[in-house]
Amino acid sequence: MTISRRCFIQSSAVGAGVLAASTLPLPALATGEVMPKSGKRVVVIGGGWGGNTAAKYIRMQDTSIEVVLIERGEIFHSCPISNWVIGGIKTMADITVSYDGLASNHGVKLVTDTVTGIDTGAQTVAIASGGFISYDRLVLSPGITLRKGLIEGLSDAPADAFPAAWKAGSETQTLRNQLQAMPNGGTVALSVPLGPFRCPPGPYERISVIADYLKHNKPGARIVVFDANPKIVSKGKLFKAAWDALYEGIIDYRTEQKVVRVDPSTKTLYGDFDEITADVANVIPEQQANTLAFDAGLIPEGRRWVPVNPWDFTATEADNVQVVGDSTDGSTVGKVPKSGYIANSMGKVAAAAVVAMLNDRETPRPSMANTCYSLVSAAEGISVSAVYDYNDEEKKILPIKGATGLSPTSTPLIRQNAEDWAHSIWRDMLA
Amino acid sequence: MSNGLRRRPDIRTLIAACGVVAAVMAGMNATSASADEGFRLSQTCAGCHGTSGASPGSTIPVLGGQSPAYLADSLRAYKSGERSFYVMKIFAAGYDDAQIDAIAGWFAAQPWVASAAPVDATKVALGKVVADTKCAACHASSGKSTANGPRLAGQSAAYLALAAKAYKTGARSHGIASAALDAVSDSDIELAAQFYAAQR
Repeated sequence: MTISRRCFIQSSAVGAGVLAASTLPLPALATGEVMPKSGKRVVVIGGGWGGNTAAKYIRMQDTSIEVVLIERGEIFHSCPISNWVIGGIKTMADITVSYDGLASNHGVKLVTDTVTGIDTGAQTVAIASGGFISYDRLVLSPGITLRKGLIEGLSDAPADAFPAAWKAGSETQTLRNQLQAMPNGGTVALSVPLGPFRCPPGPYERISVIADYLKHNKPGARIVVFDANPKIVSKGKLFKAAWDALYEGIIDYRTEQKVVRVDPSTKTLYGDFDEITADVANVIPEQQANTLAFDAGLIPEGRRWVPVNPWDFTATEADNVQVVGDSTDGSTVGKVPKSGYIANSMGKVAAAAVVAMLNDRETPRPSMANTCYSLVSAAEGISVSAVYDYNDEEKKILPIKGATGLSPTSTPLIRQNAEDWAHSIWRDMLA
Repeated sequence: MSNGLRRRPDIRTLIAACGVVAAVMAGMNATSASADEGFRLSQTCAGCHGTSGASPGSTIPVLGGQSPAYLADSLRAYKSGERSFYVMKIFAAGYDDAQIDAIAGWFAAQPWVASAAPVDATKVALGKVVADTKCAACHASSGKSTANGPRLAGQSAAYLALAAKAYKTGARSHGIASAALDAVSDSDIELAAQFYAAQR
């Protein structure tokens, strides 16, 4: 699901603070407030699914609020549909969208820069090019950090040895290129981490489209999956049916196989029980909230995600801050997946709350929804959907009884709906 | 089309009832509380149907500016199972009657933004003949009339064809539309869909 910004501050164990200390350019840095503030200002950090949506929807409802969106990436790459690129169904250009519409259509002020620190007391955000930007309210949508350090040998491995491709961008294309270059009869290894992770059906869609590619382009090749979980995490019945029908002898799916070590010299994955040496190795590490959220003090000791009040997505550990998207603590939100659609929904709930708070009105009741489309092949898709309401007793976002479920089967129309959905929701965030 | 009307006069009552609903909804739109509630609930629809219902996608319909009666009827039909579609069945189940009216009223009050999906000029020309003989009695030649059903003008051709075929298969049911479309071939449906998609 997202991406550029989630991709940004983080791709490795390098924290934002470290980055500031070690890689800032030496020439004179700006100091102090870089954008003098006159009226009410909201700073949004992270131009992904949650942040873009919040920025646009605040401006749609109240143009008197100044919205500054800070994002490191120059352009948006979509995590949803990025598996289609890996499978050769779409190209990177197809999943790349400009940020310009947020500025030209909605007056969002775009700052292309890296956040180096957040001071929730002073209500300022420091940026790599120097100085800080102050805010009345902060909406943080920082995405995830991959916990590469949990897998021995992974942090030190060459970047292209075990591409995660779990944030759409250069690794997406790397993985695609490696699949194209692998020999007939070769082996792809893919590891699925323990949850919670971004995009629960994502690994299984990826397995499906890779298997489809191998079936039609690499005779004799197979994909071996080490899943740390006891079973397929999302849409299991539908994926299993497709795999049985379409990919016999191509997908070797093994459960409760957590990858604990990798060896880049042989491209070998070591699981709890088995090991596999591969031509292409896609290792998806365990995940946690982006380092930026830890550094900002938004995550209590011993936790991995940002606790929030799901009524309005205010952070529990700081004032005047809302947090949306994959970095939020699911146990505090309720029963929602870490999906792009949910991040979009959260962005809207946060935006409506921001507008209400800055206008001294009561914040509206949240309403959320989700649909996750996945391909089971280049030709057919499946889906899972739910509509959510705020449960007043449990104080959580919970699915409405009867308003959840899977598509009955896979169909070509669902695949087309998925593509149309992507164009709609990209425009909903960025146009 | 006229045959359908003669065979199933009871549908006229239904259409009249829809008109009443439309009038009620129009009144509701005037109230800001209802508009607020409509906006609150409809924001998540934009994930598929586009901001304010301006869908750019080929198989997903434009909702902004659509007839409120049609939108409310459609949601109720998905909810009851009278109309069958894998994803709308789930979404429609998430809202009660008052919420459905608020959502329908809110979308109806938004500007119509015609689908950007491309059309085939030859098919558009051929489709006019089909549209005028098979569809225009209710939907008007312009496709903009909402007196007897949804606006068709500017809706994407792929969606219009899917919807029309669903009335033939029974995935959707509506006395007049089902009867009228029963006698239209799939290829003619696709031509008429191209024609209406091209109208503005």
